[in-house]
Amino acid sequence: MRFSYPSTLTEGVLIHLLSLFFTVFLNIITLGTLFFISKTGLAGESGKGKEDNFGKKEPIQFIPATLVKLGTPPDPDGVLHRKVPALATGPKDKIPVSTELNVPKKNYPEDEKAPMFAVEDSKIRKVFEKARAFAEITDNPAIEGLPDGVPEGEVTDPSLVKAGNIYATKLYRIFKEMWVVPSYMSQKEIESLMVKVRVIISPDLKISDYKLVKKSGNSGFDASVIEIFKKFETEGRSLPEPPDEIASKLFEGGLEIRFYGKDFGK
Amino acid sequence: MILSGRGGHIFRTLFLLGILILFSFPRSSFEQADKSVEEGSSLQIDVFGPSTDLFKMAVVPPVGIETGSKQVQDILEWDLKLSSLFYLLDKKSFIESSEKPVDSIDENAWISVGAQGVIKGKVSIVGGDFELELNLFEVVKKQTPVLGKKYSGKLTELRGSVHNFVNLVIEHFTGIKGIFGSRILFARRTGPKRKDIFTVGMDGWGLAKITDNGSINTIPSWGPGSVIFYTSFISGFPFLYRSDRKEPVLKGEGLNMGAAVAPGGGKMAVVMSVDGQPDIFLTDLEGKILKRLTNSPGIEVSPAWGPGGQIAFVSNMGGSPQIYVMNADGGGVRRVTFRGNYNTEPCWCPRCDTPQIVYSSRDGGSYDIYTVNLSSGQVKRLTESQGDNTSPAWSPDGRLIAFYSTRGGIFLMNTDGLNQNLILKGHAETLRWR
Repeated sequence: MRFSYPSTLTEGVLIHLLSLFFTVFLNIITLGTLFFISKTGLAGESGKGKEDNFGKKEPIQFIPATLVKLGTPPDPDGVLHRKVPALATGPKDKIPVSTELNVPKKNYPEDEKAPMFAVEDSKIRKVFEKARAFAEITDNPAIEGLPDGVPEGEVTDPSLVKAGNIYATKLYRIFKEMWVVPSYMSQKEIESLMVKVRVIISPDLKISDYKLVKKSGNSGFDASVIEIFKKFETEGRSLPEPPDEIASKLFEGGLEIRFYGKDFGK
Repeated sequence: MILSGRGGHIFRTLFLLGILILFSFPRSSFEQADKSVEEGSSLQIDVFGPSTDLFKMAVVPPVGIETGSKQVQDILEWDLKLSSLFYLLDKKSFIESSEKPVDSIDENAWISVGAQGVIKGKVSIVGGDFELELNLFEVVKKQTPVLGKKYSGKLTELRGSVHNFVNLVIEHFTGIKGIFGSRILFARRTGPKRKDIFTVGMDGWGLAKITDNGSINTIPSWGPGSVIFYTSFISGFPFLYRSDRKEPVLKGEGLNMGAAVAPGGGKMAVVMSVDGQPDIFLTDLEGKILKRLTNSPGIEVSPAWGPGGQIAFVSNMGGSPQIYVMNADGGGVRRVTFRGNYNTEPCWCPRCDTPQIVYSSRDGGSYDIYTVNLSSGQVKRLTESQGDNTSPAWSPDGRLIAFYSTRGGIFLMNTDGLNQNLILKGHAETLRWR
């Protein structure tokens, strides 16, 4: 780039004064903007952005997701099949039943159904329940599904699944697996806490930035969540490839993750 | 000429810099993300149920003279290990440059070895005096210390200073100060027909002998200040003594033993056999009987005060030795152990969320340590298949349990029975921790 110099002193003075004015003015604006950004957290620095304190508990809202089951693709021409155990799992001949003949009858209120069997806590009922459970166990169950499904999946037809459900489940599993809270915290304490994190994902599927938008109020719990994102950074981890339907949404709108201590250790 | 010369260059450069900074500053992608969240068009995930693990701590050998450095590091590591709150990383894995100052860390160097916390420091020893600086870092939080302390004093005080720092580290993470520096009181066989009373620091250091009268001295308990109560056969009878007096405080006929001083002080529960049958009485600290607390046809022994003023004790009123609790006035007696037919040596948790008692129980031919939760009735077994384990004592903060094991001496473990560490070799019985 080349600069042209003024030909006269007057012009030069005027231009330099204007330059001086604009330079000072714009630098003040720039520095002011930088200061504002740093204070409000809009700069999006890792873990140092805008953070709200965890005050009021947010109600947990669940949106049921339909997921494709992990397994082998079903044969479109074949019928559904299910392996049934070769051995009968029904009750054996000798069933230990109560020999008590005069079992006192209990009167049940109208809105409460009487139990299935006349004898309460009948051993027969226990045997039936046991048999039902065994009937589902096979050595090598044939699971129809898709290779990119998830174990929690329920359906085998991908058209029944909303875009992003499976991807969200994959992300859920990754974050859950990486999330470890320190054992010095009590279970009661952990179960009452939540952290909300906003994550920016770059097109190369790396976590380019994140910020805690809601803290739990417990620094140890917050640190356990921050550690997940630090690990992504230091280990150079990437997220799995999103389906095309949600890719632009993921890269433009980012990801919001709420980490709940509830169901701790499960 | 000045303005259109060198000065002009500077102004133009500043001007262009201003423009460049203003327009080249990247638009925060969080703005876009925030907008998407507001519009409900961003992806949202709820993650539940984290797993739990010990906090991974790296103790860097303190800078300074080798002997001092090693001593400080050994105390730090031993304390942190005993606390059952930290997992100590092997120093061979440390990759941070040794030139990094003691008041800062290289975050990435520690994250990559899995450290969550780091302790660094420096120590100098001149003559019989030391100067010590210790700093705690939380790796993901900041690269400057979250806790820093400086100590100086006589070399004999070095261990206490490190204990103090560890107590503060524990407080930093849990909100409750650690208890390093607390002591365990116990009786030990010291010869044929001879037992003596001892105390030892909870880290196994500083063993001190309290009695040395050639007789049987047993069942000690902590009194006010440095006073210790114990039963001694020095006069030929089992009388109750206190360590600051020559004369016994209780010398009734039969047994005078098992003193347990109430949490508020001023009174104690003791076992006396005034009718030939051991029962629990309430006395003042001079041995004046205030009230008889038990009067069943069975044997009542081993009183232990709870933090709420209740008393746990052992009675065979139900046919076998079991743990019972009662109010401080002897009312509201209820049995709290139902499994096993030989449950003894109760010790109340002084600081648990729900009331709990640790005790020993005979299982077949061996003894083991159990806890019972008085709210739920839930029993938890803490030791098994590792010799006889007896005389449990809960730590003052409720986080650890000390016990004697025939594996070799006094052990500490956490309240899940994990991280069992031998702290003092040799026989011990009737442990009390304060």
